[in-house]
Amino acid sequence: MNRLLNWSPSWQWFHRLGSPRWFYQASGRWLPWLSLLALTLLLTGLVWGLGFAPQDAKQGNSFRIIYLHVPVSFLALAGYYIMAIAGAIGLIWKMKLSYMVMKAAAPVGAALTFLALFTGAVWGKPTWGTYWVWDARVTSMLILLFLYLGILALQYAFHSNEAGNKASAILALVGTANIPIIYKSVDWWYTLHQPATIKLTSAPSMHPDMFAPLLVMIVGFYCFYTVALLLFTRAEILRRERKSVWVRELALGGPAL
Amino acid sequence: MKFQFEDITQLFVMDGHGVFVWTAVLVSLVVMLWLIVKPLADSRSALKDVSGDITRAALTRGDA
Repeated sequence: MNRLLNWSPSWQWFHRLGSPRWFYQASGRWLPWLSLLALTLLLTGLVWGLGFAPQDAKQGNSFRIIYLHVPVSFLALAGYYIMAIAGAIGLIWKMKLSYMVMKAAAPVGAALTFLALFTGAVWGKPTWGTYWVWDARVTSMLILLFLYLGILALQYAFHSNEAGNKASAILALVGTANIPIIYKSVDWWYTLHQPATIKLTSAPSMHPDMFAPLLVMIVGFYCFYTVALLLFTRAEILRRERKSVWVRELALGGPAL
Repeated sequence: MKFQFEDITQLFVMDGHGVFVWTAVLVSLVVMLWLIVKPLADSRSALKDVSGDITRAALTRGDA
């Protein structure tokens, strides 16, 4: 059986990736670099965006909220895909680590979705004259927040970890239907929300001097998201693997990992 | 690239939009900090629980 499993070396990384211990060790090596990169990019982007990017002709200085609003909204959506894909891998290959990543992605995604809604609200007040409107984009983002919170709550609704994992993964997969609706909401419905500033398929509708710091912030937030996801996954690994020898050794200050 | 405000005070006031912009920044920073501190605290307490369990088990066995 072992020979059969080892027959194809290209699958080795996949099995290794499934080992919580290996993941804990490896992520410990990645974290300092990723954190440094995230901090540098976010600080640069924020100072640049808030102090040095030119003012928007129509919206004045309130447009500077874009440097937070767009990146957190990006990651709120991308994070949902990550959570749903992790859930799907868990369902298909019964990979323990994958469920742990799915579980870790829920609080991170919920926090970022909350920030997307919050920064949108304080941007809406000076721009639209109101903090909140029940329009398609805002409402579908609120549904995204409830999906994240639902997945968090489902984990605790079951006695067995396995049942909780499966139910959460299924809810996460069903919820992906909401994502294209959020993306397309500004095109499909009449809405107060402005159309997308950046599209992969066309040039940004923004002056390059304004766009450059936004790009720095987006890359910075991707790094930050990875750091947060790794940290939550590591906490979950320690909690789930608390009976294993390596965690017990680690708890006693055993062999450095 | 040039600084868009006359002085630091103007950077905070932002022609009356400062209160919105800086509220967004402050709340974002608080939430982001929570995303880092929370899992670190959870990991710490998980490891502490494990070492506590091991010590207690050793004490009941009487070999500590």
